[in-house]
Amino acid sequence: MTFSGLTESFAFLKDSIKFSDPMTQTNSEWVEKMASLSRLELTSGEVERLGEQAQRILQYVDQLGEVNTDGVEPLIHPNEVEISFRKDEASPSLSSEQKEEILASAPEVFHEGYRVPPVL
Amino acid sequence: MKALNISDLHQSYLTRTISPSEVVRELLSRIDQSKTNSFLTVCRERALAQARDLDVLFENSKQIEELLEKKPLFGIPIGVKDAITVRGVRTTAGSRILENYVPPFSATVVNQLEQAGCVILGKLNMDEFAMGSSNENSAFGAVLHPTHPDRVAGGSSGGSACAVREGLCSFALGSDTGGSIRLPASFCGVTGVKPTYGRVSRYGLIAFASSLDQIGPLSLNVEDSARVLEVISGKDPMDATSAPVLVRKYSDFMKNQTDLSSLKIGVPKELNEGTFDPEVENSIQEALRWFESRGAKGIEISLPHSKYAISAYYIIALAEASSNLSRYDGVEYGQRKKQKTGGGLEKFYSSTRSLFGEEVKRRILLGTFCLSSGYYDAYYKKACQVRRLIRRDFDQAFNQVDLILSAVSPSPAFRLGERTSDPLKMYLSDVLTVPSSLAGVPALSVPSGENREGLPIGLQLIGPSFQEERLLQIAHCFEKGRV
Repeated sequence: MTFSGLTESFAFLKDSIKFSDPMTQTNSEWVEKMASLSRLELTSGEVERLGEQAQRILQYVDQLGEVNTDGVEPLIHPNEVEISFRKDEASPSLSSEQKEEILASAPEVFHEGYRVPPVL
Repeated sequence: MKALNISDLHQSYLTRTISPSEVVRELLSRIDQSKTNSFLTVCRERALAQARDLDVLFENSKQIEELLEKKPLFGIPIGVKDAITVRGVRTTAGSRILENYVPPFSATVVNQLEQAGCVILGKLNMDEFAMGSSNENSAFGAVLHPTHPDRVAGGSSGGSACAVREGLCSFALGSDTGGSIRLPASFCGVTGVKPTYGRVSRYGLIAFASSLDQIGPLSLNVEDSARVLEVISGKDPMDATSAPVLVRKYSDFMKNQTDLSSLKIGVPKELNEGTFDPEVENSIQEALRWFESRGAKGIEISLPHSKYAISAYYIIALAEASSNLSRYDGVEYGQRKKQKTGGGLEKFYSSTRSLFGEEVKRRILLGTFCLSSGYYDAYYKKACQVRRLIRRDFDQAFNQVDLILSAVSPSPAFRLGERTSDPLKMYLSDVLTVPSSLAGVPALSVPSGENREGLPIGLQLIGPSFQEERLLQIAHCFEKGRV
């Protein structure tokens, strides 16, 4: 069986799925809102493509709605062992020893700091 | 030079038929001639200097055996996925935004391997920020399949799998978030291991999804993966999620005959039914019959929530990615897009971040949505609850069986461009690898055969947490027995 077959086998899910955003946003409005929250600049072509694709992906993942998760504790992290804290002791950091090496990767440098364009 | 696997190369050193520098020079020239685009950066001078240092040890050593004991990976030439930092060597993570980034520190695994005697030849191509299943999302061009140039090498560690298969290095480091080591390993016909989450330090691995990412080896055979894993495993003070679990000498488990007669192999019906390329299905069935012919018992089991794994995985991975990738603001490192003065701080950030490729943007948008106010419970929290149920499925299965067997991918390497226009279809390439990623358990890909066109097929073996030794031992046994 091929991949189109694989997606077909999930096709039954699509019938039971509604578009994830109950608001009457268009795809483009949705993308623009998310892009602004994520600080992403998009071309108009990207807005169109990403909106359509995102909608399809969200429709697909809405299948999780069928799973009964009442009372199930979310698993945020696979190692649920207690994280042990280290002692709060000062030790040399990268920056004190390798200033030049670190600054070499910066887009713009001014003396020993990062330079950014005026934004106000 | 004979084969590049560790024991053959060490044999050549023992008989002094070749020196580390000669090996490195030969491979650098092979890399120059390669047309698969698997290397993004070749660190020629650095590698030659490392090799010269090893030459000195080599020439001054009366007993090469002792040298190999002290440095278990002495003179082994390797490639490193470009998501893993090597001090002083450009590290891009396959992204324009890090095109000029030269990290001031090496990943813990890199320090460990260099300490053990490895020579780093260069940095390997990958999907941008490890986001992809075909390596077509690299900002620096796709990796071509090593034997079928019209096919993908698999992703996201495509450069790693391809370089090993092509004979450009002995082994490579990759990283696996939802299948990114196993999938390219199966497509290219090499061995690839995703260790238990927490087995290997992630310090110096450029983060994609921190609760899933794990570094692991891609190698010419199972024994080599074991030998690498025993060097890079263990607790690292620089990574709070690395686990303080005893590291065994994994390769020792391969020295003796393995009795398979008491082995119970789980065959999950959800990962083995209906949705396969018939040649892949045959190959996996044959692998199971091989184990059964050695006395192992195949037992049908159920992982009932695995059909929800892709959904849970993409929500969790994208949510974590949107958070992790917020650090690319164009201030401290990486590229900044030229812009006119003014426009405010937000404009400054967003214009720089437009350097991300389209797949990365898609994932950030979706991840931001899944974490956004009003949708967090319905998406992120729900996915984490389903993740718990998936983990329980595995816990229950491992009460019944020693390991779980399935294919790595429902199909062999697909054609370049075949799935690029349909992201969901691309995401479904990972349908067999993400359940174990969500559960955090170790899994590997070992070649199980080829289809009629000569495309490799990979067998996936999944084991209980921190039981890499058994998993590797059984995979080694399968590999040897099938030759």
